[in-house]
Amino acid sequence: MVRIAGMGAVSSCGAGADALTAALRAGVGTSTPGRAFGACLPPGLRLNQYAARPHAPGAKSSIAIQPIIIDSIKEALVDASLAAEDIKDAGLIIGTSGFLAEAESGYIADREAGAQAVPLKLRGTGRVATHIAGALGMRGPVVTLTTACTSSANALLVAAGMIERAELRRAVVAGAEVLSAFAVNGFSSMMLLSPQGCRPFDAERSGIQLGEACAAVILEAASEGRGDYICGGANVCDTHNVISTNIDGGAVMGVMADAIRRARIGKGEIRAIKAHGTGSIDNDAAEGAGMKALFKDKVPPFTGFKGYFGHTLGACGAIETVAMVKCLRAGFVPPALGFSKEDRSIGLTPLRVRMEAKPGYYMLNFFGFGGNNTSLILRHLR
Amino acid sequence: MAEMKKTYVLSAAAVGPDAHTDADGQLCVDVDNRADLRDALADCGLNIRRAGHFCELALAGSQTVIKRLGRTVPTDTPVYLGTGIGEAGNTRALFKQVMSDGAANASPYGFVASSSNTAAFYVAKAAGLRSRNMTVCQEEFSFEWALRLAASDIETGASNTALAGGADEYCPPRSEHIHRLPLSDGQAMGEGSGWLYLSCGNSGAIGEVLGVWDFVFAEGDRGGFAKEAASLIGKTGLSGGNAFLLPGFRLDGAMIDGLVKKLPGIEVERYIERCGAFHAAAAFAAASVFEGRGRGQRVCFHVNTGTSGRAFVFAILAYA
Repeated sequence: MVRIAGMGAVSSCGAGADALTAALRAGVGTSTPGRAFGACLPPGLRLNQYAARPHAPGAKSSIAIQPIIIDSIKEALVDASLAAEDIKDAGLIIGTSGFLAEAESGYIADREAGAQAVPLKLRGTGRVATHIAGALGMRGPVVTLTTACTSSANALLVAAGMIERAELRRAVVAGAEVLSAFAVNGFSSMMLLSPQGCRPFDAERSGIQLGEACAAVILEAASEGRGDYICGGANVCDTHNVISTNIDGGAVMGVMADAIRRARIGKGEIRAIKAHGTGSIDNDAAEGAGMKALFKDKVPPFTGFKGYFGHTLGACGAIETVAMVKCLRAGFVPPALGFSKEDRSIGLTPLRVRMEAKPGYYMLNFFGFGGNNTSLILRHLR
Repeated sequence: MAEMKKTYVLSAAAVGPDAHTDADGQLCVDVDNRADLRDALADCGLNIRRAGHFCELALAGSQTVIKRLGRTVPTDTPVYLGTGIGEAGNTRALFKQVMSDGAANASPYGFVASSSNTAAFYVAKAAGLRSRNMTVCQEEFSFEWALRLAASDIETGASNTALAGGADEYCPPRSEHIHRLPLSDGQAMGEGSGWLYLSCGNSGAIGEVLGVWDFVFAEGDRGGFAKEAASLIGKTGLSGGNAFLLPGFRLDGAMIDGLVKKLPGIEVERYIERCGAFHAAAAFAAASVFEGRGRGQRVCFHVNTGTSGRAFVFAILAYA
């Protein structure tokens, strides 16, 4: 079994994983008017940004994501009652869509200094993991996965698999994103940003609400006992369209069914689902269709977190898993913030009030560009 | 634990830049003359008009490995693609679009195409797959990780087949690209793609993946590096006697010499001279092991280091 031994996080909710629970318990969103993205941000749009960014774009010094990741890992170590020595031989698996904010801020800094500005002056996304392993004295395997919005969900899946196969005894998994003007501009050009924020599965949803976050999860091999476990999961590429999964829900159904099969449970054992729930027209339609296709008229209660701390892109796998586990341990599943009216074409309503969290199985879904779909199964034991 | 299965190689394909011999008889990689991928892409059945060069490299390699396989690939075959810098060309173009003075909005398709897992999407789509699909981005070890994850799936029975590949593109000029791939002055920039089709079954097999290992050594400790790498190579029990060392682009002459001294009888095959240096060049090496068959059974050991005291070794057996 793969136990979740420790967790840490930084997000628009604040520093620390407990800040996530507080926001979700209070039912409060943490978006603010977008800072430091200037003309590329459509008027009135809000973002879920770190309360204290390492550096703002356009400053003389570059943004650095490494300190935030290290802080999250250190929090996870404390949470797991582990010392740095205990992860010396652990694997480090990072999931991110990329660290373009660093290249961007470096480009701006060079331009402002009158130096030749080199576009995409980056040694490659994997250099961050290499640096962090060195900083923490980690000598185990180091790898970075870049599968867009499923990146850190896949990092959890891959790490859990390596532990199950006894390739690792312990793994540090991190998901991290820093928003860049590049990303904000890109999503804006695709008309995917919503002025009304994230309204998951809502009849009047109009797009996503971008965010940035970092979360770390320490996984380890353990025999069954109290705690939270990753007990299965699946990843499948839907080659229907490079931007989004097929809205007929077939691929969504497929990956959820595969995850349930690999967890060796029945679909009736899923107590609740943490949906991807971006608030985009197509994603929520596809996800709703997929849930109905699999569960028929017994769709479990489901919720979404992106109304609370935004769609954190490659980091959403890790941060939303941390948020889910923290809430389960606190005894509740939060409602889907931003939902008010059922979309009859979907025919499903997410949680509108808090649900009591009981021991059992919970599903977490994530979907991304490139048709990349991931579903994880958590087992929560008190 | 259940018995581990062997990982057989059923097909291999390497795509590299144009290579030619200069007036002094020296083999040169002419990366500014990009590989002509039209033939390899002609039958892929996709409209990839707006895909970038990186995507074309990945797709050309994967389509070629499937054609050489000569049979249908099971739809549940996972895809593992390793790349050091991914969609560099597309991202660079968008960078200039968004960041320059008088900046314009990014083009929507250009933004999506800049996502590093777009290439793996097209690899899967062209092959008719509906399966696990991972893009690994770990600098010089991107392909090694793709190979490790794919081989692990097969060894443990998680999958019966797998596609493991690597690709990286060169975005000129060199003065810019050197920031993405630091090289010494004498090293030629390269680009390319390499793919292996792997299986737990040996019907039609052309070789085997014997192992993928990584280790950490004290930076600058050439002796320690050579000792550990040689120890891992020695564990296969096949070194010496038609064994080849394929040194990665981060190994300098002294490191190569140190390894050769510890592995008597091993020959050095400098594949980098054919493809130039790029993060996923190990993929080109792995696939090119199977070129020019008829050389007898060969066991090839690829060794490379990163920039901070880490190293990877993988071993491939090519049948006669």
